[in-house]
Amino acid sequence: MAIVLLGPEWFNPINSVPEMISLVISLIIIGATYKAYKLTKDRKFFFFGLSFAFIALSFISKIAAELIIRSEARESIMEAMRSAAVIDFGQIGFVLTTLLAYVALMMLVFKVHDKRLVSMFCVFTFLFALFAYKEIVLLHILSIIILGFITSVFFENYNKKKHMASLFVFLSFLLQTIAHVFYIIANYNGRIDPLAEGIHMLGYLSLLIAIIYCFKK
Amino acid sequence: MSERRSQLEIVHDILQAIQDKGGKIKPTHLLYKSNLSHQRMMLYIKDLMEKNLMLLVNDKDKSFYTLTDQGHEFLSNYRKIKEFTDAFGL
Repeated sequence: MAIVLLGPEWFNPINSVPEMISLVISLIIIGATYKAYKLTKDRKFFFFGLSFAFIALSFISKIAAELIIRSEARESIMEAMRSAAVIDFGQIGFVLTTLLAYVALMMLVFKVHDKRLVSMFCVFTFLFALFAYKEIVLLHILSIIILGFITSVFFENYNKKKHMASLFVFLSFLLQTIAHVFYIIANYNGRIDPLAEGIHMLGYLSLLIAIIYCFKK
Repeated sequence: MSERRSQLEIVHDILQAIQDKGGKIKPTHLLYKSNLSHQRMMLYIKDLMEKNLMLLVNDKDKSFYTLTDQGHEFLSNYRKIKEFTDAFGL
């Protein structure tokens, strides 16, 4: 899920499609969460919506950067430099919002209320985004760790509730964790990138199914 | 020991009690079902009637509480949000 186009030639024109689908699903989740917050005024829904707002922003920054890169004719040095700046700017935004989303979600599922702990994680996230944004593999490793812990909580929740929606939530985060493993492999073998993007999108589709289960009549 | 109910859960329990009785319940039955003191229940009822979620109607010299359309809608939305909360273990 790096902003530089890694995938095979045939995948480049449709590279952003899985992210656009995931972005739409994130926006649907924000809408559902807003509905829950409006009725209950419960802060957990606010923070849940916020984490998906960060996810949506990460998709937007990535899609925007990819579209700009693709649309530019990178023949002259100036344009190549501009593309590099776009990549850097997009990458920082992408890394920062992705990690903020995962950290917010982690705080929520682990029910961390200590403001000092939340602040510390936010500071770490900012520092990571600022100093390690070029090492995209590090982002994926960190994502695997955070999503792995979140997935374990959702698995416990599914075991407790034995409910279809909780099963799809668990599957969604499991798929997202697996996708990050494939993103790391794709960093060394570009042909894997479509597979990684596909698994990531499946994770979001699974989340959409869970939401449909919850909000159907 | 069971946890204390939140305000929202109490509101849900009151409205659910009315719905379970076919949309019409006697005040004494509601008091029993809501598991609140009379004073506290009246405070909630006043608030719910102000928000147009329930009504007090008189039928053959007897008083009943009934659900409004908004009350039914609240219960439907509450169920969806409960599903959502359970799905994510929030």
